[in-house]
Amino acid sequence: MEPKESDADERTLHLADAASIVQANQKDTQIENILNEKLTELLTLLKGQLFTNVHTKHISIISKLVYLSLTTLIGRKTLGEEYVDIFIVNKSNKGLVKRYQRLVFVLGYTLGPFLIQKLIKFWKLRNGSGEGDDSDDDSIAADENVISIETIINCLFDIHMLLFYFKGAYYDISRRVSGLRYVTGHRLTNSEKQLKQKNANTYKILGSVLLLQSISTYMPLLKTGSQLLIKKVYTSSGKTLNDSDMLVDKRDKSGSISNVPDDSRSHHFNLSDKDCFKFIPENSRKCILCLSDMTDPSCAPCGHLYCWKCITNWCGEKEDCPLCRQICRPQHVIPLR
Amino acid sequence: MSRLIKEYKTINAQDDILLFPETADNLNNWTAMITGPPNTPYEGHDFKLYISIPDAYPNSPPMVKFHREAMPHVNVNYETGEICLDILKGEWSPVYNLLYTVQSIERLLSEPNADSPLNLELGILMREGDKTAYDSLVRYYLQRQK
Ligand SMILES: [Zn+2]
Ligand SMILES: [Zn+2]
Repeated sequence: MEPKESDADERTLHLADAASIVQANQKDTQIENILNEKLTELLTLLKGQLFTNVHTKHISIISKLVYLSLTTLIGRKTLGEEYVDIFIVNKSNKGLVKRYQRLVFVLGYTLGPFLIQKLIKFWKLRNGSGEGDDSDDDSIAADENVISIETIINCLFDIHMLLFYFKGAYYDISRRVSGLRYVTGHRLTNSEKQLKQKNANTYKILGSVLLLQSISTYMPLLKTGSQLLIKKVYTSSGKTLNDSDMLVDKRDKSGSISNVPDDSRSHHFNLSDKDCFKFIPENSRKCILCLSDMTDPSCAPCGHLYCWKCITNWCGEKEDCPLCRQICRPQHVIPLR
Repeated sequence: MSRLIKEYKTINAQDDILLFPETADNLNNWTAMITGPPNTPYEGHDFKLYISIPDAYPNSPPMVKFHREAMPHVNVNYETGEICLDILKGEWSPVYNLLYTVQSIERLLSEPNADSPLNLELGILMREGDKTAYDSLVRYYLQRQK
């Protein structure tokens, strides 16, 4: 810092604003992508396309790991941080971060999302395998459980983003967890300060929009959650709640159907699970269109079975059965349940 | 895993099939070698097929061509190598695969179809039912290439 500066306030560095942090992050992502591309190219040369196709995720993690190990981990600025002139300090803006914090950040940033995905998958599998011998009612409850875990993670992520837009401290969760904050590397002129203030306001607007959006997403979930609770209380007290009551609630006043779960949340029947639809014999469990074990086996009017996705995609092209050419309109395909 | 990779694995496991991706890192372009069927004017000749896979495969058929000015056949455009075959167009079904497509083209060599000529010269001879003239004109074309 310049020694002639007498004001104590000017002696501490300014915390970086949201705009700079986002900009630095974009730059870094760009560079990580370039690294990823080069690494993929190299591996394709060495090991062939099959290898790189199968390991896309791993390659991307490795390239991120390499980039951050060469920059943040050993205490250097990343190119993105250099670009907007910010650097990392600890939570209270009183000094630099410790090495273990940087390590936690690098590992969390690169491996975190991957591990969380694996965990959810593992959880789903464990729940799915127990489903067969349970009664119908229990399997519904298990389904709701899976939904809530993914929803909780999404919800946490939204809260994190909201905090970022309003306070502008941590752009990603791993930085929040390991306590890596940013300060601007130079003194701000007055005009720069004004500009940053303006930017901060823009981000607050963004934050408000996100807030509204999350409220509208999570309110119906809370509603179904409470309905489920009510249903449980009812059944445990010996009464049964009329199912049609619940269904009516799923339509809102305009008559359109809301609350349709997105694809990742809906339950899929996969024939790679030997206990699923045991009546389908071993030699007809593969879909002739994708050559894999069928996912959501679905029946064309002629009786031929395909994956739901495979046959409906084809019907968009031509409305006939790929095997016997009998008419097969998408609305006549029936998924097995 | 995508269907194309599965097909690649199956094809790769059999070594009597002359069908392979152009380069190991690109499954969107393939080449195939077919041999002229016996008792046809094509006997004793090998032909190269160029196959390119559209993004929508297998919901769209692969695009297949002969080398330009290499295949004298009533259903092949001699200049461009373009092939007129029903399963490469409206009759395509996603249950067909690359191997079946190549085998169908091989079959087309012994069973030319007079109804959809792309080679007018040969088409006229064929419509007149002059098989001897048709065969010898094919032989003449093939001879000329050597
Ligand atoms: Zn399928
Ligand atoms: Zn059928």
